[in-house]
Amino acid sequence: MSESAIHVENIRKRYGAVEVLRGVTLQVKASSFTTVIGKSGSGKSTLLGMIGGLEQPDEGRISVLGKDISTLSSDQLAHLRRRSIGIVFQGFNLIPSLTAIENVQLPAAFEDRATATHRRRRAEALLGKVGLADRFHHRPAALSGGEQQRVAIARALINEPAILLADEPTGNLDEATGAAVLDLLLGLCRDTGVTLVAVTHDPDIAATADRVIEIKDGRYQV
Amino acid sequence: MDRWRYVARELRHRSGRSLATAAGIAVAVLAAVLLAALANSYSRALEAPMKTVGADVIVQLTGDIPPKLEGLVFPHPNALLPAKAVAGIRKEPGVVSVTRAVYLWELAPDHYQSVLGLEAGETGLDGLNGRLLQGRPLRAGDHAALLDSDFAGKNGLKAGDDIVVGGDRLPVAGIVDAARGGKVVRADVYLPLAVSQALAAAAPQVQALYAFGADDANMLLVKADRRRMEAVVERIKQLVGKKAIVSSEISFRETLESALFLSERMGLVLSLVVAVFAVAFVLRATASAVNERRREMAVLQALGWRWRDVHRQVLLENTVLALTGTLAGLALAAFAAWAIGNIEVTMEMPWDLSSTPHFIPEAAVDRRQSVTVPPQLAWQVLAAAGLGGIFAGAISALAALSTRRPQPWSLLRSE
Repeated sequence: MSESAIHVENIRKRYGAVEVLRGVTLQVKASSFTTVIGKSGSGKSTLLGMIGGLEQPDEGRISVLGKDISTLSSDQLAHLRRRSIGIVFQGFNLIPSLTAIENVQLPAAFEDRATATHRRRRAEALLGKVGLADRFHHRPAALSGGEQQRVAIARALINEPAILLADEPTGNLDEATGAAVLDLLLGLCRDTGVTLVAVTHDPDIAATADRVIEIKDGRYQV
Repeated sequence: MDRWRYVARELRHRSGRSLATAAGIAVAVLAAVLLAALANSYSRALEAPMKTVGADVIVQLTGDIPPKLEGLVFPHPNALLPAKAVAGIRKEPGVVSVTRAVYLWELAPDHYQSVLGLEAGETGLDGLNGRLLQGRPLRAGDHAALLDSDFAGKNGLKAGDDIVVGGDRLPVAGIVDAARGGKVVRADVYLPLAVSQALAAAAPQVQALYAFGADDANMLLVKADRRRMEAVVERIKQLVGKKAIVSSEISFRETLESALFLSERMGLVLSLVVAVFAVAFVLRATASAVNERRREMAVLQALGWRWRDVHRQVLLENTVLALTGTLAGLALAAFAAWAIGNIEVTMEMPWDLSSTPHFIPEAAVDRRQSVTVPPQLAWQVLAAAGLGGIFAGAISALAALSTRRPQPWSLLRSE
């Protein structure tokens, strides 16, 4: 697949007096691995949030899987995220009251394409794939950081998304654990043809990407 | 994983906050229901004597003090009722029946006794005969008396003995338990109307004030259509004149107005105050809980939950807490009502319904009446408190969510 999965066109975003994105235009090919790098405050996380429909640009247009998301309602954006976009966060963001398997099933709670049994089996399979077959019933507090991030990766993939957005996915992990988590993430995305866009500070991660986008002074640097 | 499991997990995970919210609602429901039940019981206790004064309406006329307080006298204040007024009352719409009576005090240096002569009828001799403890019923044509059981006990009298009233020796036909009889004005000695009329007609201190004839009366016991009670009372006052003493549920209520006001209104006011504090507490607790969970709500949105799904989740959690608190509050209220047992209220009967001369030292004691009632949990109060509790929980969640809608990415982004 070589079509564009994400098309960002001249987007601008301002927070108060600070304009963090100043007319960014880029395209991300389907099934590719793209990293977005830049200094702190450069606007790379803002860009990721906009692609995920969780942040609105002040100007410009974003298309995801051929849909202009700036025209979608909040319910339609939620539907798009549930069906087509998985998100992995730096801080894992698991729900502390739920077990690992319940966390993984959470995005599928309103998914009518599959039965509860099917959802559970898929969650079990995903947790098995990320090496947590023996951690189904552990709550986040009983898991290490690496394990929590692996649960978060399984959760992001439960609805078989076409795009996975990762915001500093190894930022809260030690080097060895981060490398293992990254390998896992890349492996799963490549196996399933998922388009992966990761925001990172880590040059080693950037080095493994098909494409590196650097945001500097609010603009995309080629 | 379904929604209900998530609700259960969340409530258990935040057990302290869940418990505090449910307890807040439980306390409010308990207080509101219990206060309403106690106020209602007090009101019922105050109203109880109205149902046992002897008739729906008792009519008397204010009279003068006799020249000498000796022998048979009309109780003060009491006067001869004009025959024209009595005939007029009988014809009034809403008046079901009229029983004529002669009410007398017999005063001697060392004792007194109250004497009531009654016609036959439900509010007269028939009602009295229904409370017979010993002896035989008293008929309209008898030359005999019935004695109140307390009076008979105090004076060592029983059926078959004699009693002297106004110098006339009368055989005691029977003893009645008039205190709990309910439908007659209470006296020590009960006579057929004709006997009491003859005694009054022959009594010097009665005749000194009134030309009491052998067919006159100084008291009427009126049975009325309760739906037309107010109109009947008003019309009787017009017929008898300015000096009429018309005792009824209405006059009794007026006499006890302040006590009834306190019991009815204060119960309501206190319930409302407690409810307002509880709602404020639940609002604050829910707002804090929602604030703590802003990041979690943002995560749910990032995972594809619609805002209304998040909304429903929080609403469901709070409603479950409210329902738990409400049921606990209702159960506690029922238990507390049972534990409290009966409520005893002692009150003074109005002078015009007292069988005891007010200048007798025991009069104040005799006029006191104690009524015992159990706290009653009215279904309307239970329903209102139940719905109020659940509503408080739900409205707290909605209020908290309306002011706390998170901007998801601002809470989740790495930089």
